[in-house]
Amino acid sequence: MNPGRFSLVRATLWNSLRSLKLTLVTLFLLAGGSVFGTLLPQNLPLSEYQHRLGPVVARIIQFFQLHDMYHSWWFFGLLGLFAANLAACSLHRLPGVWAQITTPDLTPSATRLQSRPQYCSWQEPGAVDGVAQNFTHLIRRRFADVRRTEKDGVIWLFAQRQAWSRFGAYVTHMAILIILLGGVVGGIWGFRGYVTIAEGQSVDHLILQTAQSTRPLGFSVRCDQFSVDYYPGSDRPREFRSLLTVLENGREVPGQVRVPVRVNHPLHYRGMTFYQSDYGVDAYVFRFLVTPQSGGQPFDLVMSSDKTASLPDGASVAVAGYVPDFDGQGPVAGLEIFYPGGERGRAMAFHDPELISKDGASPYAFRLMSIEQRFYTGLQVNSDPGVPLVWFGCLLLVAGTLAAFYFSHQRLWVQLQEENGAIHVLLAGHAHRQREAFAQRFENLSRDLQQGVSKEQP
Amino acid sequence: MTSFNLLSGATSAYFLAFWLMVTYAALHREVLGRIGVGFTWLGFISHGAGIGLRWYESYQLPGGVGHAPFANFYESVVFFGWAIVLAFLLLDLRLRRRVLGVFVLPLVLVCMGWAQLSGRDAIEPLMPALRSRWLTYHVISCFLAYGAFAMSFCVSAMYLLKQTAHGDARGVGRWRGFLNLFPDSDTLDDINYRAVAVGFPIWTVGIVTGAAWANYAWGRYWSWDPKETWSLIVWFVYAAFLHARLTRGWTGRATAWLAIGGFAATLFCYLGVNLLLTGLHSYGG
Repeated sequence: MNPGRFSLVRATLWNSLRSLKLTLVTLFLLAGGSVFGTLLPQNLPLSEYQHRLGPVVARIIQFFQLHDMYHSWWFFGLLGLFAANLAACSLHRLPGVWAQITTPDLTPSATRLQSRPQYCSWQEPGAVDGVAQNFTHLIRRRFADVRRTEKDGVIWLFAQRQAWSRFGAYVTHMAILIILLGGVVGGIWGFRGYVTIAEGQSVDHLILQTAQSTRPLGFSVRCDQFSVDYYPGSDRPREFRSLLTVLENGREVPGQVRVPVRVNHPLHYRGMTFYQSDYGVDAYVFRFLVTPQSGGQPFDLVMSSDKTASLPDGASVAVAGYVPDFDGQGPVAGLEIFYPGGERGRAMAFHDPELISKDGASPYAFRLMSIEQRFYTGLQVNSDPGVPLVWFGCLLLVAGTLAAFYFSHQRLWVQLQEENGAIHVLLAGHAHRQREAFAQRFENLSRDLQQGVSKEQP
Repeated sequence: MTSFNLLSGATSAYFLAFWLMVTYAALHREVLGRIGVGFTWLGFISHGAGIGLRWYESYQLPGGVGHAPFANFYESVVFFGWAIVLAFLLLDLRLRRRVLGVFVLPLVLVCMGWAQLSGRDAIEPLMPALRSRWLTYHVISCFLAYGAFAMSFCVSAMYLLKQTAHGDARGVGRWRGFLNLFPDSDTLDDINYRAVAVGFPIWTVGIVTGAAWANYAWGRYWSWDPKETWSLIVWFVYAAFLHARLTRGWTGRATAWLAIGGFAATLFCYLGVNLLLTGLHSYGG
């Protein structure tokens, strides 16, 4: 390929990459693709799609990764194209806008002024310098600072307002690129997982969501307590709260002890964030009053439902079952007793002392004193180094769209030329947004210029 | 006086205003239109007071259930109606073409009627995920944008009606008087653009506050939940609208249809997602 042809190809490629047609097409394709993703249930196992929609559709789904559409190659491709188009468009247009603002046309010709959307002309008496001074004074007070240029006896005045609003569109475009970059950074260097910690326990690794593998935290987190707070007089939860303590090398980290973590109030530590997301009952903790049948001192026995507890004579006991209300006789726990010889026995533990079995089949009588739930808390754990970039991008996005649509770059030109003893005035204006409001302003200004000057003349 | 009374009063005022404007459109008596707008203002004030009073009432209930009144379907649809009326009245202050009310007020009446018929006007305590100050910022910005987009939809419908009637010589006779009350086509086209230009940055704020909140509550700023996705679709459509109009110079029918498509997406984002799809925003419906 010869160099000329190569540069032609490059120019064609660049021109189509920066074209607005491409912007519109990618916007509509992104919108359409996103619609599709909300209609097809996402992230089900592939076998589920095969079962529901048949093998052919399932193969199509697999090829286009429609089961995880927002992370599919073609959706990323579209986003990439969108980003490239944004960047190309901005690079193509920004220099022109920059030049227009920083080096405006200070000495436009009369025909150029006449072609502006706002335009009028009239004759002024007096000296050209005095008129220019008065106009400058008035425009400065009512519109913006004035730049005066003189050439061949002709005087030009130029003033502009809210020129920065022209950058709104480009700030918006850059903001989108920054947000996408933040997404990429988070995707590459971030991770997402969860931990479940029973009350009183601690964990030092998390389970990754995507890879189904674990990852060490580099420290441990202990759950001191989990509680659910209900709205008074109802069963609607008001708040889920975990008290978490961070441990480094087994030692509590100052300032990170019993930190309350609630929904909307996560815990941040070493680049990771712990969000309250789930909870459940880990075990029940039973308290029994145990009386030896042989006649000894009764003693307390506290045990959780998932463990066995030892009794003084070498036997051990476990809770086999629990009924909150047994035949109208209150709560009861069924116990299984393992004797040292390998035999097994059973016992029922009621709360009501009348019902305690003293049948002698078991060497102990158990009385159920209290039952408490021991919770586990489920925490989502994230590390996303892209988040600061995303927030910075969001800030720019809001600022950029506001600048682009709520403000308007307004320009005003005056040309003064002495003709046959009178001064010929040309006044022209242009606004890139809110033209109607500017037209009104222009009209008022031109009226005041025509009246004000003759009044201020000595 | 309870918030329910105030909101019912607002509904009645809108109902009266709507029929006054229909009569104005039929008889071309300007004074009827003016009274209609007066009733709309009356309804709007009562409506706003009702929302404010409901906010206050929620803090008077025992058990600390106080919250901004944007938490369930009833509250949301009432606020949606209020945002539309706000946008309409702001537009009316500048435009003073009352016939617009014939198109806007039915939307508002559907909202208010739906709210009252749903019968779920009890103040409900917030679920933990909603207990955040972001609720207020997020909902207010989204709904203000809804109001602006609703205006763009109404003037686009008027524009297309006017254009279609002009093209059809037989039909014009009967409707000419009605159509003559419309602002001219260029003005309608311009309002369409301006409503979108006003709504778009507010919608952007709505999406950004939503993402910020999601990051606090769920640990990710974007999870492609149907509501999030649809809000982005709406953003894409109006971004396309603005580029087509400002840079490629689309006007008239093309942008009118684009605005109608945009509002259809907006309505689906607001209602369709909750009624038809499942996701994290399920409480709103």
